[in-house]
Amino acid sequence: MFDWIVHLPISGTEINGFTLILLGFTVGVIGGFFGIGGAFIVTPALNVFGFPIAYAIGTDMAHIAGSSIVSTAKHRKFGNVDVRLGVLMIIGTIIGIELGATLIMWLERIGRIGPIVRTTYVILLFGLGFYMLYEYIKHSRGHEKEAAAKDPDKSRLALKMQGINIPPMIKLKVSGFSISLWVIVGVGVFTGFLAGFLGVGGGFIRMPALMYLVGSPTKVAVGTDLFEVMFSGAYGAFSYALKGRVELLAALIMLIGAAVGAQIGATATAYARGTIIRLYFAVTIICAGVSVIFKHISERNKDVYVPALNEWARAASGLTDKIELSHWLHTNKVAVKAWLAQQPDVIQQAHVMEKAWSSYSGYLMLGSACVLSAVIMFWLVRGILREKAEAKFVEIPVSITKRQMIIASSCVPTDMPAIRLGAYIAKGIADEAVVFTCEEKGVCEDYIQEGKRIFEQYRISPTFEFSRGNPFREILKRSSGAYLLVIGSRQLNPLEPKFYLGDNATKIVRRMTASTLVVKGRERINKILLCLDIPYSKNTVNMAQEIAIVTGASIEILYVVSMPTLYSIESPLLDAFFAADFLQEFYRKERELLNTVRDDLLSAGVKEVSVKLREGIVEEQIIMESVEGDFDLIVIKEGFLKTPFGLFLGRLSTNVATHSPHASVLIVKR
Amino acid sequence: MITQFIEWTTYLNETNKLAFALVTVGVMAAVGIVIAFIAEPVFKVLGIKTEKMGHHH
Repeated sequence: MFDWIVHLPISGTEINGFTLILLGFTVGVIGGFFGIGGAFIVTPALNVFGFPIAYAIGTDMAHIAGSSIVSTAKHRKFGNVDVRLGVLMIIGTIIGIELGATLIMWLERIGRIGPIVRTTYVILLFGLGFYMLYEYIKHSRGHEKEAAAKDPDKSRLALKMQGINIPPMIKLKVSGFSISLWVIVGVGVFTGFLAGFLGVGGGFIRMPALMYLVGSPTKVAVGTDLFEVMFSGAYGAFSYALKGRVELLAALIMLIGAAVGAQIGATATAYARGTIIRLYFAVTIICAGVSVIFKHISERNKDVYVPALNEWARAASGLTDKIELSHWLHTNKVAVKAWLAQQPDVIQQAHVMEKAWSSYSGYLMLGSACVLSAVIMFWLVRGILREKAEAKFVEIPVSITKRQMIIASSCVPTDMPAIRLGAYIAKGIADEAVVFTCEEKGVCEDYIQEGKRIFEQYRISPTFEFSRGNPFREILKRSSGAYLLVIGSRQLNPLEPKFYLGDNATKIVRRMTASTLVVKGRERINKILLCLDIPYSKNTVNMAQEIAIVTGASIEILYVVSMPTLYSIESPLLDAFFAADFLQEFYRKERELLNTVRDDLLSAGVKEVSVKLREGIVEEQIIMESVEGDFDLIVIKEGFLKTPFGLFLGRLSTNVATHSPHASVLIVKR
Repeated sequence: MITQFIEWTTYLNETNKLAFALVTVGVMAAVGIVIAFIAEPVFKVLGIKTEKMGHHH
C-alpha cells in the first residue's frame, strides 16, 4: 500500500512518495510552530533518501516557498505577523547575507572555509539551544508562578535595544512598541550575516533574534520570521531552479504534506505558551547541533577519499564543473562502486564511515523532527479538547440585560464576609444581587435571614437561589454572563489573620466565567491596589473606578516591571554601548502612561490616586505592596491565555488570589 | 495532466532555465495559496481556533 515509488525526472532518482509527504508534513508542523523554513531538517533527510545534495537544497527551497505561504497566512490570521518589522528585517537581511557571503569568499581564498563554518555553526546551535533551555529551566524553577502567567518575552537586551533613541523611530503595532529603524536593520544585518556566512536560510537565527534583540513577543517573532522565510524561500527556489537543481515533482509532493503540517503547526501556537515554544525550539536546535557534529565526522572521512574519487571521475566523465561532477557520480553508482572495490582498505573504510555518519546525521534530524511534530500535534489536540470543554460552561444562555452580581456561598458563617462585602459594593456596580447556594433550601433559613438583613442596610433586595450538584460546576454555570461573581475564602487558623482559598474556590478562580471577587477577611474597602501592565486593560481600570467611587476608597496604581533572565547578565561593554539612562527613560515613558490613567480616575471622581512602579517578580511584588501598604482590595486583570499549561500551572491572577494574606482580590475578566 | 505538466517542466528545465525558475516559484506559491484558502473553512468546520490571539510580554 505504501509502495508508491516516484521517478524524479530531473535528478534521475527514485523515492517513495509517501516518505516525501511524511517528510513535508513533519517539517511543515515544525516550521509553522517555530517560524522556520526547516532546511536543516529537510536537506539532510533528502540526502539520506538518496537525493544529491544540490537537488536536496533546491527542492527543499522550493517546498519552503510554498509551505511558508500557508503558515504565514495562518499566522497573519492570528495577528502574529508584524509586516512592518518583517519588511525592514528583509532589507537588513539582504545586506547581511552579502556581507556573510563576502567573508565566505575570503575564507575560501585562504582555504579555511570548511572547519570555520562548521565550528561556528555548531557553536551557534549549541549556544542558542542551551541558552534557551537554561532560560526555560530558570523560569520554570525560579519564576514558576510568574512564568505561568507571563510570557517573559522582553529581555533586558531588548529593553536596551528599544531604549536606543536614534530617529526615525518605527511604531510596531503588532509587536506593541516603538523602536529605532536602525536597530531593526542592524538586527537584520546581523542575522543575515550569520545566515550568509553559514549558508543557511536563517529562520532559526532570526526567530530568537526577534525575541531577544528586538523584543517581539514569541508568537509575533514566529509569524514575522515566517513572513521573511516566505521571501527567502521564493528567492532560494528561484536561484536553485535557475541552476536546474530543483526537483519540482518532489517539491510538489512534499508541499501536499507540508501545507497540512504548516496549518497544524501554526495553529498549535495558539494553544501553546511562548515559553513552551522556546523549550521545543531549544531542543530542536540542540539536535541540529548534534547532527552537524555527525556531519562533520562524515566530512572528515570524505576528505580521505574524495580527492582521488573526483580525479578518477573527471578522467572518466570528462566533466570539470563540481555540481555536474557530483551529479555524474550520483547517476553512475555502479562504476563508483567498482572503482571503490579496487581501492586500498583505508579509502574503502573512509567511504563506509562517511556514508554511515551522514546517515546518522540525517536520521537524527528526521527522528527528532518526527518526535517533535508528534508532540506539537498532541498539544494541539489537547488544547482543542480543553477549549471545547471550557466552552460548555461559557455557552450556557444567561440573560445579561442587567448587571448581575452573584454571591456564591455555602450557608456557613465563614461565608458572611463575602455577603457583607458583596452587599457593600453592590449598589454601585450591579443592578441586581443573587445569593447562590449549592445547598437545599430548608437547611439555610437562618443564613438567608442574616443575608437579607445585611442587604437591607444598603436598601437592596437580593434573590436567593439554590442548586444541587457539584458546587464548582454549578457556580461556574450560574455566573456565566454575570457582571461579577463574589466568592469567599477560609480562615483556617483563627489566631492567624490569613485566608485561604478552598478547593472549589481555587477551581472557580482558574476557570472563571465572569469577573470574580475573592473576599478575604475585610468587609470594608478603603485602599485599592490597582495592578496594571502595559498595555493596560480598560475593564480593570473601570471596575476599580466603580468600586472606588461607591466605597470612597483611594487607588494606588501599581506597575511591576518584570525583570527577565537577561537582566542578570551584566556586561560593562553593553552598558557602555547603550545609553546609560535607558532604564530611566523606559520608566519615564511607562510612568507617563500610568499618569494619564491616574488623571482619568481623578476626573471620574476617585478621591485619591497615586502611581507606583516596582521591579521584580510580579506576583511577589504585588503581594508585598498590598501588605506594606495595608490595602483592602487588589484589582488585577485575568491572567493569560487559556492554554492547557496555564490551566494547571496557575496564572498570575490565580496566584495573587491564592497568596494574598488579607486583601481581597478582584480578578477582572478580559 | 499532472504527468504532462511534469514532462513539460522537465523539458523546460533543459531548454529554458529562467522559465523553469519562474514556473517553479509560481507553481509553489499558487499551490501554497490555494491550500491556505481551502484549509481555512476546514479548520472552522472542525472548530479549531482561527481568529486573532492576544500577545503578552
